[in-house]
Amino acid sequence: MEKIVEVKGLRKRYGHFEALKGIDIVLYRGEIFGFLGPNGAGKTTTVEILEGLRKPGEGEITFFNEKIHNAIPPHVKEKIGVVLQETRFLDHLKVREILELFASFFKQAKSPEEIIEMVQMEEKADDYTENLSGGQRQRLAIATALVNDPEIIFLDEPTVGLDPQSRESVWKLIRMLKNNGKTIFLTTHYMEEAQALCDRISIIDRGKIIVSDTPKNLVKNYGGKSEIDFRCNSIPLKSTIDDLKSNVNVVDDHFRIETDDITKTLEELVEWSKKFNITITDISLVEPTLEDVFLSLTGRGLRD
Amino acid sequence: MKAFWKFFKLHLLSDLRNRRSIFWVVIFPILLLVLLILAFSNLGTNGALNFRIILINESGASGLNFSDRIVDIVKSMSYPNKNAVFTLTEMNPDQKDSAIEKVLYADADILVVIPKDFDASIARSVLLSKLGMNFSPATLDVFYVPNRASSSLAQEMIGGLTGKINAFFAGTLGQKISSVVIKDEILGEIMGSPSYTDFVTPGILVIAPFTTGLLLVAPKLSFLRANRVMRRYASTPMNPVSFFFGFTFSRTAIMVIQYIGLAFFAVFVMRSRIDIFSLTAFFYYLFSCAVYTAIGFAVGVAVSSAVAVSALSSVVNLPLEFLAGIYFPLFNLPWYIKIFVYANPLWYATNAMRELLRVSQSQSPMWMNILIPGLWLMISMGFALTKRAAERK
Repeated sequence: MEKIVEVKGLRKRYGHFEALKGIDIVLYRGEIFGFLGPNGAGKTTTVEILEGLRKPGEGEITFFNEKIHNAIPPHVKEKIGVVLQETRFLDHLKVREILELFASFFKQAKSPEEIIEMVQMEEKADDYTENLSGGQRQRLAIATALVNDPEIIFLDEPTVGLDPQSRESVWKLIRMLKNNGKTIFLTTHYMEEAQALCDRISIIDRGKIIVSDTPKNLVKNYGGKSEIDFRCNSIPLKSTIDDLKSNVNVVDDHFRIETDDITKTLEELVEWSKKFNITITDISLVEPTLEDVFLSLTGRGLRD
Repeated sequence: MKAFWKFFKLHLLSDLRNRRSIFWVVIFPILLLVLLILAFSNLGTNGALNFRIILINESGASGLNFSDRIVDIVKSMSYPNKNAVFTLTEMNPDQKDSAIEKVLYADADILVVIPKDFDASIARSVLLSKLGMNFSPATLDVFYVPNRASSSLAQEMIGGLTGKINAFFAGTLGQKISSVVIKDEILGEIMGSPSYTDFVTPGILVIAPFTTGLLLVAPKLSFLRANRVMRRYASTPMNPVSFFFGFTFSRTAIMVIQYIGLAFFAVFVMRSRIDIFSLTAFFYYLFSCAVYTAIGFAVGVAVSSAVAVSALSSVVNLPLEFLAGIYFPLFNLPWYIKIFVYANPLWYATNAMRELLRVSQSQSPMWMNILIPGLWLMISMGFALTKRAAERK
């Protein structure tokens, strides 16, 4: 796969505080890369350096096979799109005018009409920005990041503060961008968002990347065991319970099995109920999520 | 260049479409002008006053001592005597130019000069009147600034003083006819007797762009920063200079619209007699616009929330306006307030605009009217740019 961005041993210091302690990141063409970390982990510093908003400290950054020495140069910015968190625009300007403004920043830009169509805002093209809903405003923010037809798009918390419907529509837009071959660098506080959208994820904590992998592998390797909770029509004898190979615990009024292989354990449970003629009246599965991965790796929640 | 024009056009459009901006930028200054003129055109003066008088006695060594009597009478009306209305400073005849400057630049309210031939004129008038012949009374030269209330009132007080002097001569010399008259020497006046409308119009032309600088630069900049729009711009290859000039020129365009609108309204509706076509006044106005925009930049960069900008703008706005002598002439200010007046760019701008619009001579030298606001421009921009640079590190 073609590397679009490569970061090696990136460090950044603010006075005596070392925000980044030598991080490595690789972004491949056409992927959605999730960058997660608790507040103060160094996530914003990393993203702002890559967006060209902050000067890097030590380390090596490569964009499109070109080494960046000090700050991101304008010709590299020509190929980058940025969506910042909860973007607002000047009041009393129309959607079309905002896109014209952003188009004027680039040597080559798509027409506002083309972008408006892409983000499906045709009906809002002549509306003032202050009259847009949160979701529409975020779509406009994404639209401004597309005017230069970028190769890579940085999305910083793109769905924060949006209702579920607006969030879903932004996700749809992000997937559409991926399908169009764009590389996406996504930071988010929503684990379900990262899980739903990202091909790969890196988790940063205290200025260091602690793990990088696909969401599936992260859950598998660091998420802990799945849980199967069930109730029976009658209380089984201890000897009957002991017949199950899995370790069974009693929690409140039901039984719980912790397992690494849900399918296998379920099969065993079905066989067991048949063997002892026990009816399972209620069953529920709790699978580990990225939230659990995050907790187990960092010792704190993403929003802490 | 593309980005510059877009910034210029869209920032201008954004404000021209905003009813609140239109109110503050266009309607409010016109309302203020109308209200001030309606309220204060016939302003009277009450209360105890203390006028700073400079007395120069050029008639020193004549052998006659009529002039000394005048000095005594003025002294009797000066502090620390009871019911004093003057604070007297006596100066030598060779300091006359300096005394005139003091009156012109409001360090004193009035200058009274007893001319060289004063004693001889009194003696001649006494003699001629006793012979029943016609005579010209002796004169006291009084230098004052009619445009400044304190100076104008002091001149009236001196008018009253001649009655006291003539009464003295009547009592001591038996002189029944006025021996002494006042000869007014008017300072700082260009258009004759300016009305309150003439007086206040240049001040409104100073306040309007200043308000624009604070209301359409600082909060907007603060909005752009707080909502990360500036960061969004910075993530593109756009040169920040395009933003700076596009934004600044759009503010200047609004200020020019204000100038034209206000000046025409003042002249054609309110009958102000300012020189509406003075090019130097217009250029000075443009210079002032740059100063106020820079102050707006500094305020906008100093604080990031719109509420804080609003509060800070009020804190900056009100004292500067009131200590600029825009609404009323400033006089008898204590020294610690004077420091603020002399550091106030609006005071210099008001003085300059009054002179350049041919209303009255500036109370401060023209080079100061450029230097002090120029310093404000440099310090404000320096602060804004330094803070922005620090934020980007």
